[in-house]
Amino acid sequence: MGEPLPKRIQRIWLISAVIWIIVLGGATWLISFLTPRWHWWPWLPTVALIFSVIVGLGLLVSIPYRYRFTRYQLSNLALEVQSGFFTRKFEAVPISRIQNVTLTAGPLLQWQHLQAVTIETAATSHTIDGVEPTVANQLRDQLLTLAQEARDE
Amino acid sequence: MNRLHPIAILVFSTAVLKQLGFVFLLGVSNSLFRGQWDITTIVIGGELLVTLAIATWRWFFFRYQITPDTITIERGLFAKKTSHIPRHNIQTIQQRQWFFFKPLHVLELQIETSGHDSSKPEAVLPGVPESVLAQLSLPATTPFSTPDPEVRYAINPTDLTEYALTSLGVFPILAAIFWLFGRLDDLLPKTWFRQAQTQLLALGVFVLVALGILFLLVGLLISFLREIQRYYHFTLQKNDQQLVTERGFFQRNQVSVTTTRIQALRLNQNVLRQGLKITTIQALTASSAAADEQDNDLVLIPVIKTPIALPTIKGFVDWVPDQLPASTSVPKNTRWRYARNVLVGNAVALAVIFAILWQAQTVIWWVLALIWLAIAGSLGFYAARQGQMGLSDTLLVAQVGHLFGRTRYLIPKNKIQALEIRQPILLRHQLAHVVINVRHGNSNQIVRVNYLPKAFAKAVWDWYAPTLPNKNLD
Repeated sequence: MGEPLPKRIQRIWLISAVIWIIVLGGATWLISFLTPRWHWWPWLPTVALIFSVIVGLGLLVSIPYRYRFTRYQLSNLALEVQSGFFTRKFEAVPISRIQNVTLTAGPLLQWQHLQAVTIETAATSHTIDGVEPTVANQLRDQLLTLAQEARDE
Repeated sequence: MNRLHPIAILVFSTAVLKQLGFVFLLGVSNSLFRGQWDITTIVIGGELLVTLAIATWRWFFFRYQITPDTITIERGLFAKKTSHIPRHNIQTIQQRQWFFFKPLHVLELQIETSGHDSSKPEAVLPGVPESVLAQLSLPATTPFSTPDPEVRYAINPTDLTEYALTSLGVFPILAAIFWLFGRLDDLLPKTWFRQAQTQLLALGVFVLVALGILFLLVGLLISFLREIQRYYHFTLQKNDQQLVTERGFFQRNQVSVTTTRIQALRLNQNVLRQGLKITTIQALTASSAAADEQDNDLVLIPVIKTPIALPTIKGFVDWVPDQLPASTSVPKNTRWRYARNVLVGNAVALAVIFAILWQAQTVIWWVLALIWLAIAGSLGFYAARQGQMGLSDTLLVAQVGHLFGRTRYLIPKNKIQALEIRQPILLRHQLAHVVINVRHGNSNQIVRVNYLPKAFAKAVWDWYAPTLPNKNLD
């Protein structure tokens, strides 16, 4: 149930996972470089390494599962956004609470020709990580029309 | 365009002084150290003059206009700023009147819309004649002024005394006293301090204990008086869908809010008040005008006996039900998870502290750490026991336990901005967290009850978003 995101989103997740792994690797290297010089605890680099490996592997391995679970669903009255892996998150937003809809695309999303859709209420904001630009435009128009109707009633 | 009453210069001056206050401290501590009182006089005198000049400047270039439709405020000469507030966008209006404003028939107005950008009120008029209230069609800040309100509540002095006595506000005050005491170390000459220290040590444990008790008593007295002055002669009135609260001894403070603007009600009890069966009722609104320095919430009823809390507030807010819907609690066999989560967090924090201080050999630290963890764990159990949620057709009721207290929220369905169900992957067959989002002030109030039965989470989902079938929760 619900619409899945385009398959290409997985490439973006992969690249951001790789970026994270580079950052973690850099931090681990820095720790092992500084530990003997600044006399930190000798076990610190090992802990940092184990931590980075677990987080890095977790990021990589979870991508297909995350993909399976990241979905959205739109009815005439409400929007649902599902996300998360270790903790699954189901968010429901009634259309009548929507204040504005924003489409954004960072460099990675632009490269894959995708757009993220962010929906804001008076209190919260909810993001669909990436959809085809045509779908994004269609979603935006649909949400705004429905929201207008809901308000007029 | 009108100018404010000149008394506003005084209000502006205090604001400027708050920013320049440290110059005073410098001057005074300098004189204590070196005895150069003449320089201090010059510094402080100069500061006062500068303050007065800035305040007068601000007052002179501050102009306002109130018409039935809009409020216009113009500020500054070099950086000129003009703001317009449409009357129908106003969420809350707050009137304050210091006791010395009263003979002048002047008051301070704070006006708030639900605009997103700042935590400050959109308009502050620190000295306007009482007659502008008529222009805004508001009741005046004199107690019992409104001839016959539809409903009226006045605080009961015994309840107020109980309330002030059970305030946990003594802890921050104690912390402040100890902090000041620590600061003395820096401010006073070292020789004085060392003398005082040796004398104290000579007097021994007995005096130290007596001193501790003295601090506690002073702290209690301060917090008691503070609460009494804050809610002195508190009243709540309803006129034509407007709720008006009024309170305060030195400064009368009056807030008006339209009932339709209320996002949710919040019933608060700390542990002591739970024992005495007294409750505080607050309203969450979409603006922060209700805020004063201490609490960000509009207090509708500071203290009331718990059994009559609901029937009383029902007279003011019509969507309050006669009886609360049945609630689902956090199942008994999962309460340990709350305690575990608190313990894990605290244990990590303690481990970091131990690693940094490197005090692992000292027994006393281990004992302190164990006591800390025991308290944290039992607070976790307490929070788990309070956690519950229930539904009726149009209302959601949630109770959340927190540090030394519990809070019950009454939220109309149409004020819930978004619902979130969270399922930890290992518990996805039994339990789920339910998160409710409500607009509060300029941000989001999260009402979250963890580890509720999955079937209940499903019921909340179907209640809130019946058009979105969710098989994952079956």
